[in-house]
Amino acid sequence: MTLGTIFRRYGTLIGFALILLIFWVNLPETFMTARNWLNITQQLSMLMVVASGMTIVMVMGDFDLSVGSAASLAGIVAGLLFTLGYPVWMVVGAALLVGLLGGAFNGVLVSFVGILPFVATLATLTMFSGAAFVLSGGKTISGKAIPEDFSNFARGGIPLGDIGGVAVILPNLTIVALLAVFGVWVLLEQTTFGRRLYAIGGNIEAAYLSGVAVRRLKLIAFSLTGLSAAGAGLMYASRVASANPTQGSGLMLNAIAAVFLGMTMSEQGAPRILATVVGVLILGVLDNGLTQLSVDSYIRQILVGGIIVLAVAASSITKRSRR
Amino acid sequence: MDEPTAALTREESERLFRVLREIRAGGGSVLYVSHRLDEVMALCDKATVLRDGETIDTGKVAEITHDDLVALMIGRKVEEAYPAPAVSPSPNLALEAKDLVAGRLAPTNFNLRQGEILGIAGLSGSGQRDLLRVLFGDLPVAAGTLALNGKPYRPSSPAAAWKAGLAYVPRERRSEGLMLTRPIFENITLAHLGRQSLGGIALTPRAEKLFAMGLGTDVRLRATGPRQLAMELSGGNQQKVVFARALGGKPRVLLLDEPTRGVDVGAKFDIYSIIRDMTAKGMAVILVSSDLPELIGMCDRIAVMRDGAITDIVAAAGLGEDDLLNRCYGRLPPAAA
Repeated sequence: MTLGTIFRRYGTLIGFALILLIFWVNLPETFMTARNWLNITQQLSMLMVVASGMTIVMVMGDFDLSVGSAASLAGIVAGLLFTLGYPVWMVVGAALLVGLLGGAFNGVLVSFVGILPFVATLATLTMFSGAAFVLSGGKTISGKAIPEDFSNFARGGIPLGDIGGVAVILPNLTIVALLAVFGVWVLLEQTTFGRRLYAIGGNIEAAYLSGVAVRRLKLIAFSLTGLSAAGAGLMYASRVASANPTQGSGLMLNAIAAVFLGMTMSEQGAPRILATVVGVLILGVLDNGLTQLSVDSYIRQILVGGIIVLAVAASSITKRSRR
Repeated sequence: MDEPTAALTREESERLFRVLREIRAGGGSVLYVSHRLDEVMALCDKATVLRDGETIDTGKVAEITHDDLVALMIGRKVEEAYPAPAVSPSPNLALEAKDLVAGRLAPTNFNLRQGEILGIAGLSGSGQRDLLRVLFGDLPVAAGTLALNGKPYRPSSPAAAWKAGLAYVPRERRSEGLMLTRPIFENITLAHLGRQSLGGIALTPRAEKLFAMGLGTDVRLRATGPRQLAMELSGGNQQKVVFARALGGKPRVLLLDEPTRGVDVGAKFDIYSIIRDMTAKGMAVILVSSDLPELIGMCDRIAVMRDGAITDIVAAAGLGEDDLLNRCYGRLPPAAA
C-alpha cells in the first residue's frame, strides 16, 4: 500500500487519533478516564441513535431532514400522554409509533408521490415541529407530570464496579445507543434488506430492474429512521425529565455530519454504520475535549464544522486523484 | 485515442479522421485504440493486436485483411464468428403474445419456442424497447394476452418477471445494469437474494461468492475475483457480469437488448457461446439488436418492427443483410409466415 492509499483509507481515523492525543496531553487528569468516556457516551447516546437511523436512508442516497423535529414531537407526545396519566410502557409505545408513522409518511412522499427526499423531509420537518408546538401549546411539559420511573431511566445504569478507584456505571442511555447501533448493523450488513438498500444506493434503476422492490424498501427505511428519531426524543425527555417542542433541534445536522464523517472512511464513500459510530465519537470527543479546555462554545462550533470540512475534502481529493 | 468514434455519427467520424490525418501529415503520431476494424483499416498505418493482456501480433495495415485482424483478436477463424446452434428449437411455446397492446406497442402478435432465438430488428423507436418492457413487467399490459409456457402471464413488476423465470439484460449496462461501486458478486446475486441467503433474510456472503464465481466461469468472466468492483472491469466483462446475473436463476426466457454493443470481438464470441449453450438447454431468447449480421448469424427467426408493431417474421437462415434492412424500412412485403 502506498502512503497515499494509507492516508485515504485511514486518514480520518488518524486524524481522530491525533485529536485524542491532543486532548490527552492537555487534559491529563480528566480526559482519558473511564468516567469521562462513559460520560461522553451518555451525552452522545441520543445522537448515536439518530445517526444510526440516518445511516439507513443515507445508504440509499437519501436524506431525512425531519429527524430533529420528529424527536421533539415524540417527546411532546410522551409528555402529553404522561400528563393524561397513561402508564410508561404505553406512552413509550405511542411515542415510538408516532415516529414510525412520521417516517412512513416521509416514505410515502418519497416513494409513492415521488418528491425528492430533501424537499419532502424539509416539509415534514416544519410540519412535525409545528405539530409539536400545537400539542404543547408552545410550553415545556415538565416536573410532576413525568413519572419517576421514566426520568430515572436516564440516570440509571449497570454498575461496572470500580475503575481507577471510582465507582462506575454503564449508563442505560449508552446501552440503548449500543442496542440501536447493533440493530442497524445487523439490518444493514447481515440481511438481504440491507443489501438491497445498498443496491438502491449504488444504482436505483439497476436495482429496480434486478427485481428489488424499491418503493416498499424506501418506505420501510424512512419508517425506521423516524422510529430512531422518536427513540432519541424519548431519551432526551427522560434525561431532562421534561419535554419541550424544540428538544431535538440540534440532532439533524449533527447526525448528517456524523454519517458524512463516517463516509470518509469507507471505500467508494458509501455510508457504513460502524463508520457512522466513529463519526459520532469524533463529534462527541471534540465537544467534550473543547469544553474541558474552556473553548468558547461558538468557537467550538466553528472548529467542529471546520474539521468536518477538512475530513470530507481530504477524502474527495484523494479519491479524485485515485482515478 | 480510446474508442473515439463510439458516440460519433459517420459524418463526425469522417471529420475526426481528417483531423487525425492532418496531425500525421504534420509529423505527429496517433495511438488509436478501437475494435471498429473498418476504421483501423481505413485510418491506420500499423496495427497491434492485443488479447488477454498479451501482444499477439504487430504489422502493417496494408499487408493484412479485416478478416485476419478479426481472427487474431478472437483467436479463431472469421467464419466461426457466430457459434452454430447445437439443436433445433422445440415446438413447445415459451412465450405467446396475441394482440398485445402496451405503451407504444400496437396490437402485436408473436410466439417464441423453447430453445429458440427470436431476433427483433427495426429502426430505433419502432417499439422494441416497449416490447421488452412489457415482457419484463416494467410496462403494464393495456390489452391483449401474454402466455408463458402456456399459462397466462401478467407481470406487475420486474420482480414478478424474475420470479416467473424471465431475465433481462438491459441496453445500458452502466446506467441500467450494474451497481458500479459494488463488488461483482453483489451485482450478480442481487436478483437472487431470496435463494442466496438463509430464509431469504440472512446474508451468506461466502456462498454468494461461490455462486458468483461459478457463474463467472460460465460466462468466461475475466476479473481478479468476486470482490472486485464492477467499475474496474472492461466493457465486455461488465456485460458478462450482467449476463451472469441474468443466468443465475436458470431463466426460461432471456430478454437481450443490444447485448454486444461496445463489446470487443473476443467477449462478443464468449457471449454468443453462452447464449448457444443456454438455448441448447431449452432456454428461449429474444434478441433486440441493431447489428444486422449478429441477428442473421445468431437467430432462428427475426421479427421486424415498425411503428410499434411486428410487421414481418422471417427465418434467419439464408437471409441477406440488404433484405433485412429493406424490411426494416418497410420496402418489402411481409414474408409468408
